[in-house]
Amino acid sequence: MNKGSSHTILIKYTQNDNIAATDQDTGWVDMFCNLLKQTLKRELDEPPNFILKPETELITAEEFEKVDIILYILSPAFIFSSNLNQDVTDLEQAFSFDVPLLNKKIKKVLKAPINEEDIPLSISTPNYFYFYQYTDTFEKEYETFEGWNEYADNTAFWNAFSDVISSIKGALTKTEEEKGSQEKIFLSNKNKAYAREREIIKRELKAYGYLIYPDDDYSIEASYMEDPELFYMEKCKLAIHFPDEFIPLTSEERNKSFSKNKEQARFIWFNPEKSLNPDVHKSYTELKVSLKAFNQIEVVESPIEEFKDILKDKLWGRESSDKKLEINQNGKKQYYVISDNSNILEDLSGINELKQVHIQYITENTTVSEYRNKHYNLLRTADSFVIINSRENEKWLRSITNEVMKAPGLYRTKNIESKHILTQSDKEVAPEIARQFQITVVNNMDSVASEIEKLITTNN
Amino acid sequence: MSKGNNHISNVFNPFPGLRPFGTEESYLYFGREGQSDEVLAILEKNHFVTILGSSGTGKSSLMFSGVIPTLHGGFITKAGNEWEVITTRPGLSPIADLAKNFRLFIENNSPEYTESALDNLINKNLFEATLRRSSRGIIELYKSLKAFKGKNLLIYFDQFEEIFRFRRHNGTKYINESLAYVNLILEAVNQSEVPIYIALSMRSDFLGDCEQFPDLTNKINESHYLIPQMTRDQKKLVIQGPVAVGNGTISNRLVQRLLNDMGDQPDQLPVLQHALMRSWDYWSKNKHDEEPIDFIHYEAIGGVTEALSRHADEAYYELTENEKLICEKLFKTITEKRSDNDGIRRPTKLEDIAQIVDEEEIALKRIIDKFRQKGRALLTPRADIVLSGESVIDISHEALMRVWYRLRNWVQEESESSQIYLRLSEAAQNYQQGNGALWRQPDLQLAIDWRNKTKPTLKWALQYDKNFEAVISFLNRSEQAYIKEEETKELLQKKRLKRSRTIASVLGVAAMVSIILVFFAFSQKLVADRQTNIAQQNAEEAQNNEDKAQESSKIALLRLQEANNSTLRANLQKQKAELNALKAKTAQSDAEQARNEAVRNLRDANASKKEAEEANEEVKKTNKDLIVQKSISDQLRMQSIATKLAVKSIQNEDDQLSAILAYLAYRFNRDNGGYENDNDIYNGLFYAVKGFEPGYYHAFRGNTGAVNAIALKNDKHLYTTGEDGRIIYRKLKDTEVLQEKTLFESSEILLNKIYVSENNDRLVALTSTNKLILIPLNEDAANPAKIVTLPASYAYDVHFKPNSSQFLVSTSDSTIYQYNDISFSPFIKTNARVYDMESLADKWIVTGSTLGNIQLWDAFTGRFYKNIATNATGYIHSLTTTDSAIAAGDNNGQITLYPLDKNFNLKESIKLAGKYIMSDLTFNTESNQIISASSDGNIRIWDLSDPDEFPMIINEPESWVLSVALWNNNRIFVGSKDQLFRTYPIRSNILADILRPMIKRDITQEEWDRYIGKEIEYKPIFEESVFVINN
Repeated sequence: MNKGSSHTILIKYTQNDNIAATDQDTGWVDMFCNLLKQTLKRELDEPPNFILKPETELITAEEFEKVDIILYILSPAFIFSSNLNQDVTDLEQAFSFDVPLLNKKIKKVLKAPINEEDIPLSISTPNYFYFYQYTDTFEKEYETFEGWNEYADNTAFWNAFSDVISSIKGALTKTEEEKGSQEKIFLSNKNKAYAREREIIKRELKAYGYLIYPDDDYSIEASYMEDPELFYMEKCKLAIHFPDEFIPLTSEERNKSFSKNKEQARFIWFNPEKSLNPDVHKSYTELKVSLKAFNQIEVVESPIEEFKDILKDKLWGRESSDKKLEINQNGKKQYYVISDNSNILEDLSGINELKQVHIQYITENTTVSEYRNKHYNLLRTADSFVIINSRENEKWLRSITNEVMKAPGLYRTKNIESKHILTQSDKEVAPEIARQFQITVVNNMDSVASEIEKLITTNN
Repeated sequence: MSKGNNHISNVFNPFPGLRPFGTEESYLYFGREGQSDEVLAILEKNHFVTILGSSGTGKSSLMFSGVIPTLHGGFITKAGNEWEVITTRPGLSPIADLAKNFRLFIENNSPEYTESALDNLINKNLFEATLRRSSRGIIELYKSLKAFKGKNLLIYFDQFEEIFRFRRHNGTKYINESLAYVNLILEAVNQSEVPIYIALSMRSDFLGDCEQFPDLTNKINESHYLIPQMTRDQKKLVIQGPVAVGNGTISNRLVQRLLNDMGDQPDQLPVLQHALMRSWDYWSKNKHDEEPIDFIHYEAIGGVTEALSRHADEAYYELTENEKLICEKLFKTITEKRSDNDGIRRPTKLEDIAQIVDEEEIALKRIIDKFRQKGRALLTPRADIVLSGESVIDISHEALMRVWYRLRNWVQEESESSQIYLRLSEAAQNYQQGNGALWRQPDLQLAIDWRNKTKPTLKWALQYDKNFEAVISFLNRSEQAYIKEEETKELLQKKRLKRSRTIASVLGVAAMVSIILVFFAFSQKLVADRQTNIAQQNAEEAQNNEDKAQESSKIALLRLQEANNSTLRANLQKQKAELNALKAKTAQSDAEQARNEAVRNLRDANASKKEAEEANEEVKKTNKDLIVQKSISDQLRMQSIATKLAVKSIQNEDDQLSAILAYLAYRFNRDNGGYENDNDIYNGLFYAVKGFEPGYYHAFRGNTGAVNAIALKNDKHLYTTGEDGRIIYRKLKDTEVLQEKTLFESSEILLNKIYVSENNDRLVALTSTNKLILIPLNEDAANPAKIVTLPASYAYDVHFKPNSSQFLVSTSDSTIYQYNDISFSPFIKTNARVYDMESLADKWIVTGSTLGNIQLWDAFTGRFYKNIATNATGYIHSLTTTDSAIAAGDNNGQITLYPLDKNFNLKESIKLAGKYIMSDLTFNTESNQIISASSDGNIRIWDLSDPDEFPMIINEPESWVLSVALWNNNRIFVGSKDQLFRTYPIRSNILADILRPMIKRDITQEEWDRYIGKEIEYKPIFEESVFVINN
């Protein structure tokens, strides 16, 4: 394998997008390619080869097979030329309409705003790289905008360029597929008012390996669905929306939209900067009021960086700490036994096998933070709790009982089946507390093991 | 080694002074042995460490000369000894600065990354973009740079407390940036993919501020190192160690004295370092033989207490008087007061300082150089670094703020100045929202003094908040209102005084006259009395004589002859007495006459009194004037209420009430002589109309599709074009469309701008390519549209020659071509691209170029006539002209008005500040207005008779306003990026007339009391009360 020749990137463009502003300048496409080549040369051990094709030269099936990535540089000029359609039609036929295959290999660089509906359906997955200030304001902007070619100072250019580099590196080094959870998040793209913010959120989530829908769904099934949004949402773990898409809707339409996929966690994020406009503030307030009835939708109005934190908390903050401390249950019922005397706990090991349950307890030779972490984790995950008060230590019992009473507040995902206290005398637990928190007090310390066996049997 | 030391001792000073020790100076760093090991232990365990300590405890020095050298020594065995270190500070743009420090690192350490211009471009931009992509930015950047392959990276965030100051700026932007910055750090710490280590150093008094970032606080809890105070022995080492390394000697008594002078305050370390540096310098220049550094050298430089202050003053006294003033402003810019006895640094870019203090960079450089020259180092960057606009200027250490008395005062003054500004800003905001009044004395005087003394600039104010324009406008208004009020008072006082004087003088005259009259009457009476007395004396004498006569007649009997003679004599006497009595009578009548005269005088006095009364009348009239003056101050009050109402009307959610408030605001403002083009009043009315009819401002009340460009001829021929590739013509009469037709249609050509000849016989459309479309407009024109190709790649503007359908076109090759119906020929060659051409006095063409030049050319020959002005702030984006003025808008949003005399010489130009790119400008000569459209979706309308007033702003489009056309002098057509074609009235009175019929109920007494106030008499809108008041 020759160094630098194992990968190939094909760039398809129209000469119209490569006209230099003056004789001293370089055309947009040439500059883009130069930057791309140089950056990949710097960053990759094996820099890819490049093939540049103007619009009039069609991509052949062989080429498509051979190259790793195809970058279409799209602009109104390219979209209006028939060559783009011709290219895609030929590829569709050559690859028996394997749309996901086409979509996956073709990446679209939007040099200037285009009407996205004009892109041929087979490559219409909205995973675009926007090389302009992509907002509703500039959506309909054309070449009159001073600065299309002033890439060097254009933040939008470099943000998008960095996305392209990251995406190409991911594809060439195959890390894209391996990275992160590959879980899917729905990020609504219905309204362009939040387009810039959407890009920021998307970048963050993608950095942690999430797939963003609809952008990363390479199939085009959704185009044939009655409600494409619902189709995407159902595939995703979480949905994120922005308020402006709901503003023009009637209250009936809104209710319908809010009621979609009710089981799913959903966020609607309001950008506080936009609320500064009195008109917008008014309509946002109204929208928030109409959202009150929908519990599964969480309304967040915070600076975007805070929202990113909130999302991360929701997605993996707690999850990862759960994972870190995960205790293998093998599907068995989990009993968390807390005793003031570790000798008693040693007698319990036999019960696991016998009763097909998993008895958890914490031995004392551990550090404070490990002990506390494990303790909290068990409070979150155990099915039943047993407190053994063998030494009649009233303060200890009160403290531990309080801990168990606290358990439901620790983001448990399942209900607590039972809470037991084994003690010498029932005087140590106030009956009204026991009643209110459904704690069963057993006054028998003669045979702790058999008592526990008994209550497991009762539970089963 | 000793040879090397001998060599060193002759040329170098082993004390760094105020600045921290560098990484190369660890051999001079004494007193903290062992502490760097503890820091390293924490770093090894957590990949993260925060070094805490109060100001002046040597946090940076511990890192640079303690931790980092040890790190390179491979003492963290798990990580090996391949280390790279990047140092950064949050500063004014945290993420950009981090990216810059990565770039500097790469440029200094990996030449292969700086081989080409392309590399430099990538280094400059891609690093920051990568850092900003996600919170994994540092990790991604590390991975993308081969220079780090197989190496550990320590990123040291020095002066981390700056992030809290950065975050304190108002606005979500700053919160987002600071959060993103902190998250970058946290993610880099939390990962285990790549060996990145993070160290922060922070002043311990900022610990409380950390709670703004909870995750960061947790990390700091896990891994911080609080620098302990040095023991006396350690301090001794700080003094003696470097002296020994520098091959010098120091007397033991001086060491003891230094330790005593320093006391146990931790922040004295840098001051001590400085005093030692100065003592060493003095000693090395003045020592005799083997003399150690001693009292004599130490005292010569002023000791610990004075050395720094004297040293700084030395630099200060080298400045000229003018430079001293600039120096004060400079130091005020780069320092900030934090609490009573504490200041913090405020490192600032040189170019920003220049703007804040409103001085040339070159003048500042001279001053900065004085303070950073070799051996002084009171300011950074170090003397060997050449300053540029990008250089960040900072004081070497906060200790300078505590020790240099002059700077201490400046810091205090700056703090007071900022406090006044912030108070003003708050008051201005309250006033704008209708919750506060204008300022009055004594606060106002303080504020005026502050303004006159400090001459604040916009850039200065931006350090504190963004409300500068409002503050200045508020202060000016307060001042004007106050001056008016004072004038009124003064006038009132003068009139009072005059009245009193008149009355006093009238009464004085009357009193004098009366006194004179009384005196005269009295004297006359005396005369009369005297005459009466004489008469009586005469009568008595006559009586005596008669008695004597009778006696004599007795004798006469005796002497008959003699008696007859005596009788004769008696008769004669009697006659004499009678004569005297007559005289007395005459005197009496004289007295009578005198009395009459007194009466007459009294009458005269009455007449004077009448005059006095007349004068009094005049006083009353003056009083009336005073009432007028008072009503002016009432008017000002009402104007203020009007603004308040207008603001409230926009905030109100009840459409009717909001319309009522807006209308009343307009009426109050109008009736009380308010500024006709007041922005708040206009917007109140604007949104009230919009509240009733959201689509009211859409042109022709219908969706007319996107409008990129507009051309309007003679107020009745309207041409528009948009993204649909159509050119539509509408014939207008008033607000009606008489005729509408499509002149051109093509789905493949994108039309950007259109132009119509003066005679309305030809239309030229610019496309996004090098094609132009020409359309004949004559009624009988049978020719279809014609497409012609430009000799250049793109056209910016078209200009029709006067009374002709021939036109000029400016293009991307910096040439203006002439089109003669067949072909293009070069007409004018310019040295930059021309974005706009306008006609001036029918004979000339004015051009505005990317170099900012406004030039005048002969419209017929294309000959260059003169350069009218050069705009310094940016390239000219749009122009508009009248016969006596040119207005130019640039890409920075600045509009400049250039009034011209008849020879087109420039009079003083006037700057009107806008924002963003100015895409179109137009004059409304009838109303003396200038109307601008800009890329932020705002239309601004300035009243040229009062250009300092705040402009009216229409901000409805919310997207780039591309073109504006004036219609019938009272409305404008507006085409913007959001696809709506709109028309707006450009005066409040038109809007008020539109709004009034929409109002369906009147204001209730209760609403009046609530929004306007009980003290103002209730006056409904519909005075004739045709509507039933409906609550």
